[in-house]
Amino acid sequence: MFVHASDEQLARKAQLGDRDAFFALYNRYLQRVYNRVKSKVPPQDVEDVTQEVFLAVVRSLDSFEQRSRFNTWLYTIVNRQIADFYRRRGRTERIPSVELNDESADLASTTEQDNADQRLFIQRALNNVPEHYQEIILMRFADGLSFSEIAEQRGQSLEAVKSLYRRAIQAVRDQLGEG
Amino acid sequence: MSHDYRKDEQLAAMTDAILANQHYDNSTDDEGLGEVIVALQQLITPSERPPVELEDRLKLALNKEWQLRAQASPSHKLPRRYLMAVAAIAAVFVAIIALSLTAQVDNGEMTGAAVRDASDSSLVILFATLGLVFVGALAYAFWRKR
Repeated sequence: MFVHASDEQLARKAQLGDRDAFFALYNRYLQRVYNRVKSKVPPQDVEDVTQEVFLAVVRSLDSFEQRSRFNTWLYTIVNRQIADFYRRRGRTERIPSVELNDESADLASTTEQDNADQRLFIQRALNNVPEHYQEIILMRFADGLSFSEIAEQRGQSLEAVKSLYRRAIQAVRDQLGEG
Repeated sequence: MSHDYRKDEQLAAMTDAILANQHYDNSTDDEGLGEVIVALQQLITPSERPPVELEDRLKLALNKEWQLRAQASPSHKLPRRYLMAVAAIAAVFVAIIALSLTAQVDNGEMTGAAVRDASDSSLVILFATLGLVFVGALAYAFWRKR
């Protein structure tokens, strides 16, 4: 029904009370929001934070002013909810610190505990790189966009996007090295 | 400072291959970035759907929230900027009425030949304010169009 409608058109209909339009947007973005949240909060809290994001979208739908892209507005809400989550938990608990020696830093670790530790280690590294680096990594990994699509969304050349992406990955590697 | 665009290309191609679970050539990866990509892929898997239980729970919660929104106020039917515009226009109309009433009362209390006719003066205020409202509405419409 809404296959060809843009996000902004759906958002406008939802603002006017069209429930189906809202759920079309929800279906479009659930996976991306879930992946974004999963990349930033501990596994046991991912579902709650994802739910909070969509509830916040319903509550603040009227504040979307169509001047920006819908997904920009949505991801602002995602980031705000993640920040609220950590604020509630207390800054000191932001990402539980993981003591890793050289051996445990081996990314091929296989035990469950090692996997959980490794996950937190990478999550912390990702959270510690600058926002614009996080964003391009999330666009490729969480949103599943190709580099061409990222370039189109950001209004940049493909070369510029690939260059920014490499700097972002280098920054994560440096953070992992500091861990 | 020169920038190695070839390395940007190689890393992008390696990422595409890793995310598609295809074999990738890491012989050119002298910076150890392939390992970072594999680690990120383990943290964030683009194709992973949220659990079905979450989807069910979310739909229930969202339906409930949507109902609340619908019941709360008819104001949700209009985005905030329209409500602000309507509120501003309403405020201007209240001001017009207040001004014209004040002018009528003042003139009514005055005496003497120097005072202009009360209806003349209130009409001038009324038309001037209406003119301002019209210009404001035009400006708003023009701004919206842009």
